[in-house]
Amino acid sequence: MKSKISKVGGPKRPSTSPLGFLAGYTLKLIGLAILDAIALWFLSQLYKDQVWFMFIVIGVITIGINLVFLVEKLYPFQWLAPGLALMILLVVYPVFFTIYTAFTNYSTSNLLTKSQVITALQSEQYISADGPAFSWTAFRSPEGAFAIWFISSDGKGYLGMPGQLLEQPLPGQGNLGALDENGVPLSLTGYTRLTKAQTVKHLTELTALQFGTKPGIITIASISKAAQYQQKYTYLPEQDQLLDNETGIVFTPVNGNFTSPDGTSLNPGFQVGVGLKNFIKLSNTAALRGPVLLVFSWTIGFALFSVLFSFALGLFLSVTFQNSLLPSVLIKAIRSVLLLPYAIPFFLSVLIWRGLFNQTIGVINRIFEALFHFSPLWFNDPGWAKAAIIIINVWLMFPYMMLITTGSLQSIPADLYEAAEVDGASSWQRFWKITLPLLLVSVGPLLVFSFAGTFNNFGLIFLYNRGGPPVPNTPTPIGHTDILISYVYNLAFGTSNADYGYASTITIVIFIIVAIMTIAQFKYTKVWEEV
Amino acid sequence: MKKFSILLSLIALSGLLLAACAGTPAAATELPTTAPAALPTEAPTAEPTALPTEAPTAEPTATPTEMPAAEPVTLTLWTVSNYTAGFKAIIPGFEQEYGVKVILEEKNFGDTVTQLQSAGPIGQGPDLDVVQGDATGTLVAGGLLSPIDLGDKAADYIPGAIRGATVNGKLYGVPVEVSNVALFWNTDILQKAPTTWDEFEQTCKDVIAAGTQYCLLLQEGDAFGFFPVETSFGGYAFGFNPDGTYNPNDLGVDSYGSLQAAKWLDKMVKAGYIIAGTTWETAPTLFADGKAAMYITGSWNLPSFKAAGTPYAIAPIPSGVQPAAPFMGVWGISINAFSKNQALAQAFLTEYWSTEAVQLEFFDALHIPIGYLPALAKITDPDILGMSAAGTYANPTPTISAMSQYWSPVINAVTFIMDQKMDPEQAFKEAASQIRTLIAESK
Repeated sequence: MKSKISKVGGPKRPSTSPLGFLAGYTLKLIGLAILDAIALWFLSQLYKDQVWFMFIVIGVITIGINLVFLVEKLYPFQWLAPGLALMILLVVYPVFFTIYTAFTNYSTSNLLTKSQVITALQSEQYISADGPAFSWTAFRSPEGAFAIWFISSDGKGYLGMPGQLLEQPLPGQGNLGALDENGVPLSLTGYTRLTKAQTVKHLTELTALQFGTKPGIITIASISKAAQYQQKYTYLPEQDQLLDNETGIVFTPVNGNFTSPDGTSLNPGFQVGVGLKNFIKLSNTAALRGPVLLVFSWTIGFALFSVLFSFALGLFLSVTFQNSLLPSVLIKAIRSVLLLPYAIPFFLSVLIWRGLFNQTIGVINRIFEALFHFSPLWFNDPGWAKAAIIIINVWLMFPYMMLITTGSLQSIPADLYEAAEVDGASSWQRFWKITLPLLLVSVGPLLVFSFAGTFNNFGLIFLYNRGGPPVPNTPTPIGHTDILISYVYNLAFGTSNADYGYASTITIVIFIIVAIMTIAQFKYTKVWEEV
Repeated sequence: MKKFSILLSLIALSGLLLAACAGTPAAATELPTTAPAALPTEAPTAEPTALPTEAPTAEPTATPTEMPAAEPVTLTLWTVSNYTAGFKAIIPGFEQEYGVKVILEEKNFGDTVTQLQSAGPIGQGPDLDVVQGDATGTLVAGGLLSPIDLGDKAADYIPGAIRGATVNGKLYGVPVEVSNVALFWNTDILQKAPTTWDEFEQTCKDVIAAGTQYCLLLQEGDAFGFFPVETSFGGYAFGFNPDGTYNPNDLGVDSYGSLQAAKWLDKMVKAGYIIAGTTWETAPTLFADGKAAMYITGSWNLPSFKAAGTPYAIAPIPSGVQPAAPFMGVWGISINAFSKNQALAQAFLTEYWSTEAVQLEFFDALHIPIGYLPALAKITDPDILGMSAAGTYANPTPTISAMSQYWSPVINAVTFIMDQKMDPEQAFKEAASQIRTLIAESK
């Protein structure tokens, strides 16, 4: 198709007037300029934040788009460029990023980059045991300069100017006023004494000031406290080690945490590549030694029955409506109403179904109770819980099935049915021999996708009963209605410490499983295509 | 659909990482460098003190006391919606008194934690963040919170709430709400609340005989509500170290007391005093409609009981071999480690938030159990008094990472007993073994 376009269109476009061409060309250039401006701004931000991976991707895409639109020979690619760019940005990049993340220790306790962690740790301070600590009062000059009156723990008063040694002037002499009952001078020439409320506003400026000279620098830590703070950790770039100035212990980076020789590690940790560690963790987890087969078979059963039943229901409805003698306005109205389950946000539907299935006050059980004197345990009994989930999913999926089958039914040539009728085929035979095989040719792939989608329908399982009821006697918690993805979700996110690296690893494994099943199904559905 | 959901999660993932990567420059500016910009300008002002001969001027007090700050100082506070009304009530007072504008941003439940994780390191986070106590440990481990020095004022808060927000000896959260579960009882059905489990059984016998369907409502798998029962029999979640911190190696799920509690639950279910199958959706309605005599739940259900006009009172959970000690659910204000206004944020907490008047104003707007003792002493609301009486022996929910492996197995164990699917002792022993496996794996 590409070559066709280039042959027809070629470097020379379909003929337009020179003026029209010029206007079009200018418009194109303006469009490109705007796009480039946005891209450049974005690139500068990424450069500033040192996000190199994304920087390269955006950069390559921008250059590519410019080339495509400016080089005449690449004209045919103009039609593909937006799609390609979006594909790279939204599909290819995240895929590679997931693979990359799977080999790192990225998690809530290892969120920051190494340089951020070093900065954070180096800004930690300590007060040496013999170092002085002070309470303080601020004075401010009209120009915005500060002077601080420090009072040490033994009650001595000192005057501090930023960057200068502390002085111990006599109160009531020079430009220093007499002391009040708290030992703070009432006035200081050229300065105004700040009340506590006034000081609060300037705290951020004040904490940046340093009083005295090295090594005995005094800084303000809080509204009530100032002290001779020492830097707790110093990073030694040559050795790639962190020195604890207080204790002299040297910390070496191990798996994303600065760790001392006795195994104590400092928080926060940083992101670092960990090789196959996540994959090894996944293959060694006790969760996989449990009845995973149970989870796996229910996952397949859940997907299979959901697709099968919803397809059957959808097809039934569309066939009924197609052959119906009702006025078309009415049919359209009914169809629209039947599409509603598809239009309602699905989590709302699930929560409503939860209420309907409620074992004590739910409508469904009240009916069961009235008719059969029996209340199915829709949440506590494994069988009933599974049935409930499939019922909900069929309800959620049938409108989609109805939609796709309605369209496909109309594309089946009517003369086939006429011929069948002439041959004396019953309507049942016509359905099985003509409608269904021809329908599956066009709808088959969609069914495969529905299957794959249901396979990973985490939301339904999680919202309905969080995978419950639980299975007794397992090494780690497993629920009867847990599907593969809800089960492994607990491994990576079930705790408060979300482990993105591990989650990515699991994502890759599930992707492989789904891919294998999908490919197998496509191979199988090809049989139908030859009908 | 599949592709789309994977894609979404990937985008979310990459977004998070992007956000996390992007913070370096913002953080770098925070480094307390040894070159204060103020230095040169200070040189002339230093002179006056060096010149004692100069006559003291009478002027200083005459200069305008309020210099407009170079740029308006603001504090940003993230809160979950439960507390918005309370902060709206107290913030104007702070702005007036200190001349610092406070920007209040309301976040969805959980977002004050997750968004701090993504926005904090790139300098987009708030100065002050209202987070659930359980999340403190994770946030500290991620390097996202600054320690808070409350000084003497720490003693003004419920000790357990302070202990719960303390990690490695440093405080990371100042209590906003301190809540716990209690025994809600229907005053139309019962004369008084049982104080021991023996009394409880007798009460239930009478109540059921009198035709009330539910004696005690305990939600299906409600391990949080069952925990005080466990403690009343001497059970525990994690043991304590000598310094009052939790010891992750001392798991109490299969301790003698916890097993006794499990057997008690089994007995109550068999007797019909506790009926399986009530959920967080149905239990409040059953109690509000007067179909249940008692209900173990927390203050979050108060509005619905009040709306339904249920005749209720709040009592401590009955004692077994010792008083029941529920878990304390603490929400607190923390300081973002990447905030540029550390001392100011801290001053908000020590100078303003930790005062009786402010706490009472906050309480009046919300009527929730606060954690500030001087203000609590002034509160006469019977619901709050009932809740805090029930929480007398409450312990903070452990912030140790082992705790994140605790709930799911115990929830299952309680479910098994309520559904009569497993022997009670067996159920709790299995839960303990699962937790140990999970803890070992998470290391």
